[in-house]
Amino acid sequence: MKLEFADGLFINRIYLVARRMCQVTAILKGEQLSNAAPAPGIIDLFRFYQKITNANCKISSRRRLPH
Amino acid sequence: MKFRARRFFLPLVLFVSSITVFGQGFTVESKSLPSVDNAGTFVSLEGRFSIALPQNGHGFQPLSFDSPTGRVTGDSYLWKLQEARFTAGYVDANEVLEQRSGAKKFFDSQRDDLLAKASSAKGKLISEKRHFLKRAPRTRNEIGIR
Repeated sequence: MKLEFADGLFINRIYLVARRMCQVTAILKGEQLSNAAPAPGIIDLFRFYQKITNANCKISSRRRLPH
Repeated sequence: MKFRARRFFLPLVLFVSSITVFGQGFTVESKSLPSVDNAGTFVSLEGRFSIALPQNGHGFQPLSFDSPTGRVTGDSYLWKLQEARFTAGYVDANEVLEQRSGAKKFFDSQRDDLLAKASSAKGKLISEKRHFLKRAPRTRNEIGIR
């Protein structure tokens, strides 16, 4: 789903797999709109997996969103 | 099983609350922000998903709320990059969501709620697509990282 605003663009994708819902969004404003090509491509690269193998896989550090 | 789309959609409000950034004046995104170029791949073990965004330098917010069928939990991640502001996240419900009839109501509700929020910022829908896969991605993919 893509929504257009006077000052930006909002791209929203939702995936339903069994009991899980995944959502990916992109918000583009200002100068970002003049080079909007990468955002949909990034969202296209979203992948959902049944399981992730290899215990050595690093998970990113968890940090709270800034308020 | 009756699908309680409206009630379940509470977390989506959290996800899409970022839509409120529109219609509130111009925001300058700093060029000092990181770029998606050579960003690598972010992998969420709990979320069992990957996306071509930086593994580090993102925000994180746990999601948890009560639904009519029990506790629903998940995670949400946020990236502020030169190219855009991205979020990726998930929640696990206590009932199967992907069945076609339930999924339709789910997406209808999501669209209606989103458009209601967007209309307050004078936003308009310019495209919408839905795909129903015969085989869910979970049945054929797994990721291995060395």
